[in-house]
Amino acid sequence: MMSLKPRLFLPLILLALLALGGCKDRPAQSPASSTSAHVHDVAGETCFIEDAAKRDPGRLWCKEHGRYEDRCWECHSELRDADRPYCEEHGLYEDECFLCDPARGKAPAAGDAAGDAAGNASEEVPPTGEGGTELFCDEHQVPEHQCGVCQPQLADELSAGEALLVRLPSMRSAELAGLAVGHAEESQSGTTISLLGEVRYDGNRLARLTPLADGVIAEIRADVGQVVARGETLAVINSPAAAVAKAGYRTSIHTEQRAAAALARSEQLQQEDIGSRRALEEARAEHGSAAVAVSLARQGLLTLGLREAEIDGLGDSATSGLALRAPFAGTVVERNAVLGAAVTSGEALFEVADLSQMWVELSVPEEAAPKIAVGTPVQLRVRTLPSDSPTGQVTWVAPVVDEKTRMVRARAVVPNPHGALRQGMFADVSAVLDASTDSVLLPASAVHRLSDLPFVFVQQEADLFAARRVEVGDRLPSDEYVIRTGISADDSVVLTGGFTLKSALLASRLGAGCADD
Amino acid sequence: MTALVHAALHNRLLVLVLFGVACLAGVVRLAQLPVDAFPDTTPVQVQVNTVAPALSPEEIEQQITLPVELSIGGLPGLQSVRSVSKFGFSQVVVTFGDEVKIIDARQYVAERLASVELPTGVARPTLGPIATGLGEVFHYIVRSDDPDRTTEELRTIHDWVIKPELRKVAGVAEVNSWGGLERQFHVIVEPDALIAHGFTFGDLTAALRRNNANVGGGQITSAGEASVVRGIARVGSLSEIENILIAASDGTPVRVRDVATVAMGAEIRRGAVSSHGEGEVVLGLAFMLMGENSHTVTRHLRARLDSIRPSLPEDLVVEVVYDRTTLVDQVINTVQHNLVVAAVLVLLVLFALLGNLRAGLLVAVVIPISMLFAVQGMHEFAIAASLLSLGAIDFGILVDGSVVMTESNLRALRTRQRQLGRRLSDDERLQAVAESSAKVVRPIVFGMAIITLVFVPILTLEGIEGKMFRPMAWTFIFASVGALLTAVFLSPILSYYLLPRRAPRAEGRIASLLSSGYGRLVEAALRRRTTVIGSAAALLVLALLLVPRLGGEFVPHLSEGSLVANAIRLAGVSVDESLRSNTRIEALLLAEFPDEVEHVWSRIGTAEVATDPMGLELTDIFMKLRPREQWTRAGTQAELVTAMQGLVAEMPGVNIVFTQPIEMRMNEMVSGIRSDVGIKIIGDDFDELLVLADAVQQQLLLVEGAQDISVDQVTGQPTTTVTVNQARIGRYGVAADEVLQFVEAIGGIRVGEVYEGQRVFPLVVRLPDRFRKDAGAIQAVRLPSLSGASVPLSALADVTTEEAASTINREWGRRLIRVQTNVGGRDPASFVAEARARIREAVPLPEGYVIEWGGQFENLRRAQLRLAVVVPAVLLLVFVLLYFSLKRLRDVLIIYSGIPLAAVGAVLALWLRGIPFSVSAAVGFIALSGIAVLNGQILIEAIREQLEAGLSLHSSVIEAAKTRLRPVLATGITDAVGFLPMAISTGVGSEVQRPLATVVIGGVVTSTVLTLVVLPALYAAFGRRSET
Repeated sequence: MMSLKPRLFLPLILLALLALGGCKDRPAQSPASSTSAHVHDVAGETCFIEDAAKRDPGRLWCKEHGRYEDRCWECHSELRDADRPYCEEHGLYEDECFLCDPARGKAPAAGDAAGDAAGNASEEVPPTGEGGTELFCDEHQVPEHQCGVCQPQLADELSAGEALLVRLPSMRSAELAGLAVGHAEESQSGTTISLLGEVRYDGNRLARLTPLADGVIAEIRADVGQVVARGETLAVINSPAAAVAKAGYRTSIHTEQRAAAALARSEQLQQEDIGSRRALEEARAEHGSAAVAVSLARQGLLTLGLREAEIDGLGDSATSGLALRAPFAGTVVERNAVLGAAVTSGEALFEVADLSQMWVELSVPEEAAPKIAVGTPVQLRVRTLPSDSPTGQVTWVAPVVDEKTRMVRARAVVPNPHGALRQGMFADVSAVLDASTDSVLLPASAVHRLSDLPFVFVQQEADLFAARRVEVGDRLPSDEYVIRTGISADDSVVLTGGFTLKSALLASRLGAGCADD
Repeated sequence: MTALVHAALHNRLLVLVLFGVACLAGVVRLAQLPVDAFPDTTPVQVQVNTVAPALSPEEIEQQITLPVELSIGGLPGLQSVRSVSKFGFSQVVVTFGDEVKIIDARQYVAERLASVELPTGVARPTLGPIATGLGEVFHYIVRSDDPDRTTEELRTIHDWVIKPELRKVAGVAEVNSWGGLERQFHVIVEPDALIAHGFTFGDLTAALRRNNANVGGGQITSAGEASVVRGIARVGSLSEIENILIAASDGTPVRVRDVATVAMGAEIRRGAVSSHGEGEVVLGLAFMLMGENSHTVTRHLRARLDSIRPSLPEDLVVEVVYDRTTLVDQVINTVQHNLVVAAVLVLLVLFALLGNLRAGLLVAVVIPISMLFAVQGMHEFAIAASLLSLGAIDFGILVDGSVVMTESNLRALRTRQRQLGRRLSDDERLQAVAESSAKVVRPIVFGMAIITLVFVPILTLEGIEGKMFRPMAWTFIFASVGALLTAVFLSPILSYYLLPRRAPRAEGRIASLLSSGYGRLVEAALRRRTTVIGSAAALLVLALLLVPRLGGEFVPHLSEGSLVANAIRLAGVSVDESLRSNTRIEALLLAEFPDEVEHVWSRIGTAEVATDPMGLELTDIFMKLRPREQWTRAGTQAELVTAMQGLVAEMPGVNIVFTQPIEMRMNEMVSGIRSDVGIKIIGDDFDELLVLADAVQQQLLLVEGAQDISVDQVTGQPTTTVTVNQARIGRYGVAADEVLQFVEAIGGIRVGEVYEGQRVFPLVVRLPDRFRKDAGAIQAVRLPSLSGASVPLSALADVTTEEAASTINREWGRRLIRVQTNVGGRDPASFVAEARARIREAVPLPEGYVIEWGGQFENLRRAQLRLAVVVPAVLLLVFVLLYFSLKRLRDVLIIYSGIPLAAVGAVLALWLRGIPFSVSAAVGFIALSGIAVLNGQILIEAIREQLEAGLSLHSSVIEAAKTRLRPVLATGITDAVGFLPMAISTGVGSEVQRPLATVVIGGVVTSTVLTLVVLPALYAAFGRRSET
């Protein structure tokens, strides 16, 4: 079904000469030898008959006759120019056939013809490749090398943005098949990889409160979920140890005061030269150790969680109450304390967490680990919060691979202003690997696969569609694909019914292929 | 023989009573006779269907088809084992020889199947219904006016309300559901939730299995009273399932609802139905038991459907879209119409030729009597009344014997009356009738025997052509036996009673004109006998030259009044896409052909009972056509198909081939090959098979006459494969089973049943929808495992997507791919020979690969070979019979010259009407040779009679020709006229009779003319020497 419009014939002369000039027989040696037995009198690197790599990639090659398909008058006798005498023996036009007449095939003819052809080509025919013209598929009214219906296998070699054409049987075929056309949405996006994450409290903003002395819980001022201020008392524990410590502190103060008084007296006496020097030394040492004892006892109280002011305010009535305070503003996330319970030191009574930001513990497959670094932006999606997708940054990547899971742990910090993220939630995390670029979004139904390569169908005419190869990025949760290259927002993309076009392209599989097999 | 006639004449009352009884028996049988449109050509076949909804074709092949095939082997009468493995199901078709009874065949297969071990979770193989290719007699659509009604509800109502009722109808083998969604209870499990609670898939499925059963506990007896003990733990509702306890996790009880959502869902779809361009519906199909009367069964089905209508929800519409009765009625109408018209025509001709109404009526009596004899015989041989069995009856041929007998009696009575010049007394009448009867009884018996005998070759046909035409031959033989008995015994008696007592003064004017004109003609022919014989020979040569231009087909296509468009889409098409596209095609057909298409509905994929294994890429679009009178766009079905083809060709991305419901089923069941020539390439590796198929296709393209080449679409099914990496799962301490459970759960793991009253629905554990949309989701999922490691699937297994097998066809346990082609414009045999040579040359077969040839051409060739042996044998037998009758070789040879002369007319008639040669036409030729011989025999006998009377050869010939003009003309014209309605009929189903009738009419015309002109000339030319 290949044929050439008559007006394309002149340019073919150019082709003929290119083919023959580039790789011609040696007329002097074997003027009557057939084409199949010829020797190519050219340097190896230019002979495209011998070396497939040298051929014009835009033109089909006739293996059987060793020439370009559009020059193969054996296969396409309809291409022959009826006005030119044809040499059946060598499969060439008589006026080109230097096998019959060795004088031809030399420069003069080439020059004339090339000039002619160039003139014509620029006016009428879009040249392809190295000045070749397109073969035309009469059945589907598209250039042969783009005819997807006749040559679906060409789809495997297309690069992004290139297309094969699919001509439908009639002008109303698209309507009959119910194809819906629309435009792609512009968007910005980068490459991402998706990881699994689990939401955790920010380990730096988490406090587990334990009393430092044994005792009995006397008072509870906070409950789970309560937002507490920094230093707010959550509970009071009656602790004998605290009482002892307080008493000890008071005692030490008194002792120190006594020692201070004794020291002052000794100093007085010394100044009056009454006292012995020895007594003064002793009093000084006494006072020093008493002062140390005070600061020790004070330190002990501080350790028990008493604040400076509180310690200063301690009266002589040594109460046993010990307050458990929030170390920072946060939310009580756990409370084990019940009133009257005896607690031992080290037993966690409250957990207070700052929920304004959360950690997301990421499991990064070993292979993906090198791509993740501190600072990598991440986007979260949690199944229970489909509308919300908080973003954050990787703050830590573990230096080891987990023995058991073969995953590299990493951590991202994500702000959590509304407290929607909760400890223990599983999250799908997209880690953005490179800077965002211009791209378009298409619904997943518009993207098709041919030989496992992504294609999108673009309407060109009422009955003409292009199967365009695209580069596909991520599949978004909204069931859309990011298309990186190959499609612009101006293209009329087939959004539904693309499978019909895919089938039309692969019609040969249905037993209804291109008439020219 | 003469004695028999005399005996009959003497025991007139007895004979009349005997005939009366025989006719009465026939009338009784007529009421019981099974009626169908066409003879059943289905082979003795058992289908073994096995369903495994989630398995891919290759798994089906290995896990199910292979063991089933292996179990079937070495069964008596086994002819072939074919199989198809597709996504979700396996079908093994076991074909037996015709000598095996279907019930026995099923028994053999069932016994073997009992021992087949299949993987757990796969349903047991089931046998297809006991139905034939003609079995799909009743299609009805279940839809709703209420837009909120889901197809799942429709399906449930159909399966649990309509279907059980229709199954009760006597003669129904099976009621099949197609389309809609089959209700299931789904436990949709979140893998992450399992991980969070530390459970695995196994824990969940085990919990569901453990907590859903009822048991019996025997009895408790006390104080003389026995109480039955039941243990009840069956779940019946969504909330009950939700509350099933899996186990305690850290002391907290974890229930199903904590890790999964329980919801109503539907089974993975293997089929769907849409109708009238209005979207999805549910289709019900009733299969008729083998050997039932389709007319009765469909009538009962309709009545039952009407009776349950009131019990269905108000919005529900049950609409019968296809009903075999319509076709059967139409066909029977055609046959009846033809027979009645033929009978009337024959009567008119008889009247005109015999010049006597009484004689005509007397002869016509043979028509009902022989019909009733035929009915009796059909009943005994279990032959259904159908287009073919009844359609072949030519009253013209049947009355031949009686015509000769009555004509002879009429003539004898007249002659006698003229001789005596007065009315005859009863005794004289009896004597005259007896004498004249005795004179013609031998040729009549011989003639009828010959006509009956020539039908014997048809009885030897095998395969489809045998099943199609044997009933016809039997029916004809029964009818002609009846006709013979009537002619020999009844006709003389009736002649005695009924023939006019007063003779007309002279012969009828027409008859005398004919007679004198003919006399001159014969004399002229005798004078120019060389010219006459020469031109006859020239005609023969002309006919021979025409033969190759006739073209050939196996059996003519019968119009069924319904069409099926087979729509083929790309393998891997989804149900939704198929539905969308089909709905558009339906709407288009209805919009463009509103006066032709009454109903249109599309069947995608496979029904519940997979009698016809189709993948989702295949759709049968059925069209019930309106009566032909209402059509505006086309005159005949062929034109309509052409118009529709033009229309659907505009539909991109789908290949549509037109056929008809019965034709399609028959082809599917018989061989799976629909084209003239099918090349089966048998081997093990698909890629290799594809390469070979491609090479074969390339070679076929080079053979002249190749049309509609197609290769089986065996690959192209996008397949996502999860390959477990043993090394890696070992490192994580995960069992492969745990990965596979996850993969299984994508489709669904069946863990039991849920009982809703009497209705049972499967309980299935499956993953959320997102895993069925995107292979990426599968890779990223973290698997809960027993070891506690929750590793992404991609770390345990490789997930790849590629195109794999979509259909695996096998024969005798080996994979095969078929390349099919039709042959246009040339003789199939030479086509096959050329293609074979080319392929042998150009396609080298790797070791272990085999090419086999089959298809319709094989049937035609088989029929031709069979007839090529049997027809000459029978003609020889007839020859011998004639020789014993005539005792002169030359006479017999002259009679036989009538056969080629008859063939001349037959060939010319076929050529003029543009009808190709087929088995049907061949049957016509066979009948024709009988008629030709009969004609010749009558004339030769007469000539010899005259010769014996001492006349010269010349005057013997002329005299004999003149006296026998009337019977020869009468038999000839009645033969032709008897088939005339069949030849010109355009009714439903007339396609098969047309070639046959055309051949007979054309042949009889030339045969009669030539017998009357050429035969005397021949006899004059070649009979003389024997005189000396």
